Amino acid sequence: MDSVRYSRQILFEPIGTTGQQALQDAHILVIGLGALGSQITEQCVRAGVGHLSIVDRDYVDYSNLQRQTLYHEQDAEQGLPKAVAAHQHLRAINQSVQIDAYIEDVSPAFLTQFKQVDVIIDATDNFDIRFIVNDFAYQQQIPWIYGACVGSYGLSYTFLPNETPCLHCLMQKIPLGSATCDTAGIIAPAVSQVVVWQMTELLKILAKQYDALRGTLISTDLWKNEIAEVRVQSLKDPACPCCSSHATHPYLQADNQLKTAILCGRDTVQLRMNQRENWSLAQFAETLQGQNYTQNDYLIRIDAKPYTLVVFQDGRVFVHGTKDVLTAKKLYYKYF
Amino acid sequence: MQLRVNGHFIDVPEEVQTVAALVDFLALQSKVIIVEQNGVILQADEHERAIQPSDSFEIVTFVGGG
Repeated sequence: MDSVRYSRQILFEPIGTTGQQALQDAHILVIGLGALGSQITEQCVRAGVGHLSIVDRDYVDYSNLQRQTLYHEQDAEQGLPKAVAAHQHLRAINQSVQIDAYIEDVSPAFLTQFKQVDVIIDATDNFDIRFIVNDFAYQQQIPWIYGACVGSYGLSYTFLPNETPCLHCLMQKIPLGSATCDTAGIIAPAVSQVVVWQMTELLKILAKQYDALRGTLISTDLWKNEIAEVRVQSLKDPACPCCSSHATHPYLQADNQLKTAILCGRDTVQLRMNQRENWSLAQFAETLQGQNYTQNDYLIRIDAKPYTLVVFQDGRVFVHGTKDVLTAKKLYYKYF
Repeated sequence: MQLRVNGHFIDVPEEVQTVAALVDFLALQSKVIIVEQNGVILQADEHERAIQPSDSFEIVTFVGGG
């Protein structure tokens, strides 16, 4: 262990050399590499977390640079997948950390390789994935730390299997039409506030300082100077389908349909194709002869004015220029 | 009637008599929220509870962005 590098953190008594070694031995999964993911992954590698797995489905866009602190103009110019750009920048900060980067949309099947992680950090932008993560985390008994923000507002909660209520206990359902970065915008301090909560709780868990955990659902609106904090233990549902002794983990049930999601802040619909045998980006490019398209090693961008399609190697397609799933599907089926 | 919501004192019209009416007044009816009234967490089916002057509320709204 590099005792100089981490000396100020080791001097902090609740962490000390024992806590620092625990950080070094830890494997953390961070889901989403947007605003929250940028900041929390940087803090993880600076703190000396030994093994970091990072996953994101998106690529870097100029509209990200205002708050997604890991990325540079060049990343946006090249349209690099966030997982690739983040991996490069995080390695430059701390080469001793093992970083595994995945350009993927999180699904139940994807998560099965992470049964051994110590903590899952939620830095995603949608509740579809959070309910999958919640089911997986409670099934595998892995703590996960929820964080979200929009406008000048942010909130966080630390979910501890066998102790706290789960996301389903608190929310009961996936909300429809909630405010997004698209409709309400976002300021960087709201992101930082959520990361402060998440990272502090992560350090406490890794240093096994469980008594120091906050224990509350917390939110703040930085513009309105409001803060709210509630103890939600009484909302634990004894019949919860996700965390009770009768749990069936419904959000992990696989289905084989074309999956769609509207991306926060991007005027974009994502579609994920069904399993296709022997599909590859290179072969797909051959079907595009005569069309207006560009490509790099990771994706193909098709100009279909007024829309743009971006096709990833893992079979995902972004349709830019619409938030309407049906419009996106129609366009998708023109090419697939 | 004056209430305290997330640390701030606010005035609500007289017709706001229940937690559900307060939620409507705050334009949060379409959101997923958790309400604490005078230190007591309300279950989702307890929003018809009456409110009294100087009641104190903590209201947390779930959002998805990140």
